Amino acid sequence: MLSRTDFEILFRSHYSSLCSYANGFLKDVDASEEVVQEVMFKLWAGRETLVIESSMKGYLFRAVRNSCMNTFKHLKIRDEYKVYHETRGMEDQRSLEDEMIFTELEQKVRLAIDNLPLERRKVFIMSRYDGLTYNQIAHKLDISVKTVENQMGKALKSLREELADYLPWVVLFLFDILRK
Amino acid sequence: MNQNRQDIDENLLLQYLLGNADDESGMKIAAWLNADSRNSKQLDQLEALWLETGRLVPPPVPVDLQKAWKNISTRIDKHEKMHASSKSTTIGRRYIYYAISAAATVILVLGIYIVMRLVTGRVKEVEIATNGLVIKKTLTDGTKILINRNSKLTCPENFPVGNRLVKLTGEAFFEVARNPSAPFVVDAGIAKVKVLGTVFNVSAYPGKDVLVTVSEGRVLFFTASANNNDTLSVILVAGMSGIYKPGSARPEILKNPLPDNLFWANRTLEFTRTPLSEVFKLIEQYYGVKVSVGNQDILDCQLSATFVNDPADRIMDIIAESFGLNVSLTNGIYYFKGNGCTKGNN
Repeated sequence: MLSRTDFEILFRSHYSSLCSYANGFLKDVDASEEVVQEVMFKLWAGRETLVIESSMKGYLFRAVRNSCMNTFKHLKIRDEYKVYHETRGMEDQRSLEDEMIFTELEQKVRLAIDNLPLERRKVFIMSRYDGLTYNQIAHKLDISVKTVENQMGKALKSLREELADYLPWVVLFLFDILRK
Repeated sequence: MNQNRQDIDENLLLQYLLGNADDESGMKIAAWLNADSRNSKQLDQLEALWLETGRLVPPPVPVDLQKAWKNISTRIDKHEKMHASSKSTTIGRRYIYYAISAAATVILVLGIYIVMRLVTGRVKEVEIATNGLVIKKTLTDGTKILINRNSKLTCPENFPVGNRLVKLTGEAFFEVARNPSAPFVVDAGIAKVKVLGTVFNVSAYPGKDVLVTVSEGRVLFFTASANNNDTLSVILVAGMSGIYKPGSARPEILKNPLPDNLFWANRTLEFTRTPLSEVFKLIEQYYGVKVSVGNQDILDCQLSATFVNDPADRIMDIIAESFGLNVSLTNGIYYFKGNGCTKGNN
């Protein structure tokens, strides 16, 4: 049976990517954290009799996905989801496991981002993934533009240095794509 | 910017890669690249990093892992304690119950009816009713509530795991302690408000519209329709107000929130392009002062400003300064002099 220590390791190693996964459906970080914590709690509460057929990781991602679906049902934005589902199309149907198995490089990149201090991580994510300008980020986080620049610079530097051993490999062929 | 070598940092290089750098920076970077082969390697790495991070689908989210773990371990401790005290022959059945609920679908939002039934069914409740006075109350979870006159708030003595539900008749100002694993729901009869941790005001006097004003964070303002078990909702963020009229289909965002919604709770006046004619009326009402103007055009000036707990003198000074007016105080009357504004032109 799952011990408290095992559970903590499980939680710590998957929490961030589960939240990211949930956020892909819900587009709401708070709600995503809520869903993931609920799933993790239920796992703990039911650990004595729970039978997990595939992998623990597979179970967690499936449970999070089901929870998100239920949230949709409840909020009656299923229609929106349907659109999302259709746009993702076959790829989504193929296999849930495929979605969750990140390549080694992707896992390293995610881990490196997760390891940034919280504010720096927020700045980086808002800039890279939400497409916000430094001005908009400064406004949202209630910090100065100078600080945003600073944090972004530090984020890029530490990510680059941490991932340095893996990055040069990619660049060779990505360069061509970029230049087209 | 100066021309020392420290100019070339990751930020500038990124702007260069994204094509946002101006010519001058571009030339500087070109020189820098030529100066040392390690520099061009650095730029390559940065480019690869930018491309690689862009391939993450779904994108990462900035969660606070420490906080989340603390949260869930507290919850587990509570759960274990509850369990230890009730260890008996029912234990097997309990676990089967958990296993079924976990293995089938893990339901997060149980439907507000179920939650409410569970809560009202078995928990000892506390009721706070006010008549002539405003009462301040801190709940067991750390949430602070200011209850306005002639209002009633009902809540369980201790919140059960996983949800926090209070009932309100009348008006109250909430400062909810954040807890993502236990949403805080205000049941105002015909409409409800759900939050994770924010500051907001709910006004729900019997027979009147339900009004919600958000000062910080974000709330879900919703009504549950009994016939199809569905909810109709709007999300309100800081600075917004929502209204639900009894009998109407769903809550709506209030386009022109009242500037004095929160005055009773924290002496806030929030004006958004409000003509000074109205501003002065409210200040006269709340501060017991008189205002007069030497020029009617002054009353057309539109003020956008938020005053929190400011004395009348200060508010008047700020107004005067905003519109280039002069203000003087004689015998309790604030007198404004100056050109004022012409309509539609501020």
